[in-house]
Amino acid sequence: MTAVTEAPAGPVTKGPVPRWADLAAQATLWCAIPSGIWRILFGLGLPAGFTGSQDPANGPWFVLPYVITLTAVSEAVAFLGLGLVRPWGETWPRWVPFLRGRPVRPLAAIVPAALGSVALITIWTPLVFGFDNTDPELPHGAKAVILYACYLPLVAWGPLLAAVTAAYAVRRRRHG
Amino acid sequence: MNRKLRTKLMVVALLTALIAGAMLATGPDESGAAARSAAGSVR
Repeated sequence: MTAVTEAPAGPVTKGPVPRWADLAAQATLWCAIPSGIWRILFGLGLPAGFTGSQDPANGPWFVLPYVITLTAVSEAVAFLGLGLVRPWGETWPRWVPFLRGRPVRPLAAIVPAALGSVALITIWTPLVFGFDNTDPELPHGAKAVILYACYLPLVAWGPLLAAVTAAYAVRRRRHG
Repeated sequence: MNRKLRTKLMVVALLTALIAGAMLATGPDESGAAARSAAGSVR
């Protein structure tokens, strides 16, 4: 009796996606989550170590909607990176008007992803060396450690995205 | 809701509980004046 391999359900990428690239793309989603959670809890008023003029209770009314929006935007941007290892990153999905079913131009994905990874590396890599909290109104001690631990995963986002972008470029070059 | 999604949501919920717990466990925020005093402005 011969084994029958079932065709995968739904669209597939034109070329095989390396497992490491798929895992790296999924990891980028998780990079932004701890900081997003911290940010929302901070906006909700949990004690994050900011005092005086830095205390959100002394800040404008829109702190909470702002941090929620910022977190949602961060995750949405991270989710776009997942397209580099998914069929919808090669062919526009059916629900996209005008472009549905058309191939995504490789550079239309590669250039923004590459620029994004450079921006992320530029912004977050300095965090590896710590952050300046000489201002007494910024978090200190254990609260600074919590802040740092939540934001440190962001350091990996840029390099992971760069690697996934490179894998996408190679795959599109080989398989169209 | 499929199993993968449920697992991911559970991880997010656990992370949230962990971070919130840590923020609360480290106590209320000190006022800026108290922090400046602790930073070494000695009379």
